[in-house]
Amino acid sequence: MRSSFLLAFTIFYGWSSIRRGFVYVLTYLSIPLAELFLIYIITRGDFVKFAIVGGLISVMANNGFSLIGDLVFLRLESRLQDLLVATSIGPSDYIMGLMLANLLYSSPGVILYIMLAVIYHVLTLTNFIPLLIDVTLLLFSTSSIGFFLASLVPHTRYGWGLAGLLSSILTIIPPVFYPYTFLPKSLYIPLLILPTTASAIFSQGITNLVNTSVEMLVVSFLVLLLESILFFFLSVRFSRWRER
Amino acid sequence: MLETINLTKIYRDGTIALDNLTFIANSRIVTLLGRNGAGKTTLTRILSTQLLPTSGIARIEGFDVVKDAKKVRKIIASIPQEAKSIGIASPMEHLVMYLTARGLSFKEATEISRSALKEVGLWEVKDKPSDELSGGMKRKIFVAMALASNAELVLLDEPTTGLDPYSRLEVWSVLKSIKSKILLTTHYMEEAEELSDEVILLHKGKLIAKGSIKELLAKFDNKVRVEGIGEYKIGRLRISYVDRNEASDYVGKYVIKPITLEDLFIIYGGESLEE
Repeated sequence: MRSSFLLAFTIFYGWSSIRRGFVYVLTYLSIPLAELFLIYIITRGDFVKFAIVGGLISVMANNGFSLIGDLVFLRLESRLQDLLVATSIGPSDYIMGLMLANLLYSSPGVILYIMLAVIYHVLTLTNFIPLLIDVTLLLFSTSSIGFFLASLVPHTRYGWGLAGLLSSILTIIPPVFYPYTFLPKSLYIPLLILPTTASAIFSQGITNLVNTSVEMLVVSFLVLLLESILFFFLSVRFSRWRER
Repeated sequence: MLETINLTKIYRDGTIALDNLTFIANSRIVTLLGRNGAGKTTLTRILSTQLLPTSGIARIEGFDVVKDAKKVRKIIASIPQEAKSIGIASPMEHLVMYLTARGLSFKEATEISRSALKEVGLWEVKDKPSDELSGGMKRKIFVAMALASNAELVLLDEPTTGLDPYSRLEVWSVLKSIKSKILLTTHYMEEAEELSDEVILLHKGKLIAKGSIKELLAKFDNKVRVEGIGEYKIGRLRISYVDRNEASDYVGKYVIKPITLEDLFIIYGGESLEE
């Protein structure tokens, strides 16, 4: 990894957005906040803690999936990918650069959810680090999926649509905003394939929102870890960097 | 030195973009000329290691662009056709990002970016978001990248497209001042005439002529262009090329002009210009 490039790219694509396009940052926040509000109203506050944890997961997952739109735009419209292919960096630097830029860009949302989690006693000194690792792995795996899919998208018009679709499906259907115990037990394993499910089960368990067995915590964490490594490897190995 | 041997590129839809292209070029500024679809951008992208060829060999300074791609990337800088700046980022942020991708430290990249931005006339707007800049200024960000790269070979695909004449002159002056070798792709004959040490004329993926402009024009030294009559049809315009000593027959009836690079384009492009 080239740290100078990662720093420069994070400023180029992330910090510049915060400085000059703050309305985008608000857009990023709007859907999870709307979901938080709805859940608060509908459940009369009972599920607000799930909504806070779900919001944090949703912001991180959206970060990764929204890379699809960014990457397609940067490859087909601005030609930034062509510019960078002919330099010393490789696809892994590029994914990391975009991931960090998007993380910085969405940091106001992350900070807001962390503050809410502290206020509602969801976040404690003991679960802070495991939760941080969990959402970082989630960001890593969804960004890798985003990069791989983006490299296959042939037209810009499909990029943002696919990003929105994946974001919605993979943060609404899995138990991100509701207790995973609402799912039939037979669906636990199949749904664990989705990084958002693994992340949500671990988060809900580690924050004591759901009474979760140690085995379930370990399994969900290991699945997320393996998925992050696997998806990153697959995206670097099989996505289109140099075109054929 | 640029070298291709039987270089061929066939896209998935069957389009033959390059057809057994073989040439060697070793001048400081080499210009690729050709109509749309001639294969200029495909050749530039293959040489820039952005696109893999179907078959054949391409080398830059002896390094194979497929097998030695990493080595090639260290000695080239490539500015793609239609490269667009990112609206929210400033010219300075663009340059620093690009130079760090080329392997410079953040500090070195910042220092070199400063001098490059001054040289291309973007210093005053270095911290402005690029979507607040004029089209010419946006294009100059990429020229500044080429300048700052200090690469052995800079590949520029239509760097002045869309620029007004004044901005174009500015870009030309920068390109002339760059120490690197340049492979330039352009549609503009006057640009090729102004900058090129060597011209490569491509047509339908094939090499049709190569040499300095002087050498290429010398072949038609005894000819003049007659407009209004002739075998070459471009839209409603008919053109023919006749010997100088026969030109008097056409005086008063048709427009007679000396042969320029544009005429080479027409002559070598041949019948396809009637498409």
